[in-house]
Amino acid sequence: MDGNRRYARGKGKLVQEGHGDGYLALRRVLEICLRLNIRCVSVYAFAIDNFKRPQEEVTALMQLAESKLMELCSHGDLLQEYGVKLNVIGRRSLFPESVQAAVRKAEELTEGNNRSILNVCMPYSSRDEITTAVEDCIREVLAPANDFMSNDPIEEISEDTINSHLMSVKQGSPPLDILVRTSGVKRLSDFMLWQCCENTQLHFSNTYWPDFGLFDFVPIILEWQRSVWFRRQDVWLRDSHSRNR
Amino acid sequence: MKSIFRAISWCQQLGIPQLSVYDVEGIILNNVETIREGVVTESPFKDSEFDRRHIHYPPTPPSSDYSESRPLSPQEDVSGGHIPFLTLCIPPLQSASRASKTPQSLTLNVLSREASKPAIASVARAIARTERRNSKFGVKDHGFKLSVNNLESYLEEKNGLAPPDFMIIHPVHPSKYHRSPIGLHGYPPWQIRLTEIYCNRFRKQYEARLMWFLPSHVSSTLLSSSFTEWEFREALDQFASAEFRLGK
Repeated sequence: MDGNRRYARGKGKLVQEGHGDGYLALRRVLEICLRLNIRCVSVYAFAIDNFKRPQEEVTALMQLAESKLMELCSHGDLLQEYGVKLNVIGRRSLFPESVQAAVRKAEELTEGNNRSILNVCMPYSSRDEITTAVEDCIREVLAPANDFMSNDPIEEISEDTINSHLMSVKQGSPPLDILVRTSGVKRLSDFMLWQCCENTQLHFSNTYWPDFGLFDFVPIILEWQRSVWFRRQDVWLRDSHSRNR
Repeated sequence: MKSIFRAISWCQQLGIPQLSVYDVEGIILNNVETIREGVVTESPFKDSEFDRRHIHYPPTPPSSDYSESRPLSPQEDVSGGHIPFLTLCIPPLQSASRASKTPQSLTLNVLSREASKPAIASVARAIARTERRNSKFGVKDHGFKLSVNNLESYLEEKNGLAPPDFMIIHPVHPSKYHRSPIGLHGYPPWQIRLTEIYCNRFRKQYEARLMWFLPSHVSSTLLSSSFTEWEFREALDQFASAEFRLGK
């Protein structure tokens, strides 16, 4: 969800207004995803590095987070309408207590939903997620109960083990199919590095996030569908070829 | 291979100190002797802080037949962890016109998927073993904690793999049916946090459409393209115009 500030500057608005428009874009695009029956959507709402921003902006973002989280999860609103479970992924202990409380409340409100998942990554860093997963894996294998097993549990640590300990995966996220980076930046910037480095389509869009909508999104979805279709064709052709031998 | 030799020579001309080449199947790793014969003497390398490039080759289509990638390389660090990849040190070009610049040798890293997620798992196992040894020697257990900087030092420093500043994704065999969307094919995830990514798919898409009507084995050969100077220059233009805000 990149480009709120540049968008605001371009329109002569305040940075805070840019973030507000960014939230509207989130609602818009989220609704499109849910209508398309996309089962899991993850958004990069706030990076751990973003705490380096001017205090005024950070405070405004915290207030936005608090109010909009509750709005999204309230009765009759988007998440409830589509049966979406909200997961907040990140090192929430870095947030002020009021935001942490709002996060807990929002997650409680949508706990029972099971049609789709919305991962709001804040404050998030992929390296932090990977490090925490590795830390958890190591803690588990060092637990005293494991000392006398016949297979050394340390040797059981594999990439799949680490994968299953990632915060997002632990909360039910399936493998990542598509990653979209807006505002013309062609980098991953510490977002879901582990999840997107394999079997994920990367799309770099020049549109600033608050302007992002159906027009930008549909070509991405179509391309994904096309590649899935062609992959199935390839498999079918290969299978029929080996059958004919 | 042609693409790699070209990339090596352009990087040397530009004074780029470190280049990594990656393909998921380990084909480059299997053909490292060819590279050695072409350009190189193997010697210990020094890590550099500057511009690092990386060229990444997506996998070839399933009809091609390739041998298994060779396992580990001479660069294993037993004490810290294992990031299996091969490093070659390429001596500077003999070029009279560049006498004003101090010639720099090029460090070439040859990577395959082993250097990716499996390497992180391998480092995790090594850390766990060290931690278990320490706790057996009576070091008081305060609950194991691992910091990002700690893991970073295992993965990136000393015998680790440094993060590239810039990545060029070059499909050697563009699909005969369709342009493939950009994918990373398993490149080491930790290192690409801030890496600028370049992939030009549109040129290949146009060529792919022209070849539609040809029988597949012909079009695959015709379409397979080496890394061109045009592509390299365009990639560098993209890198030059990129703005790094680093969260601020």
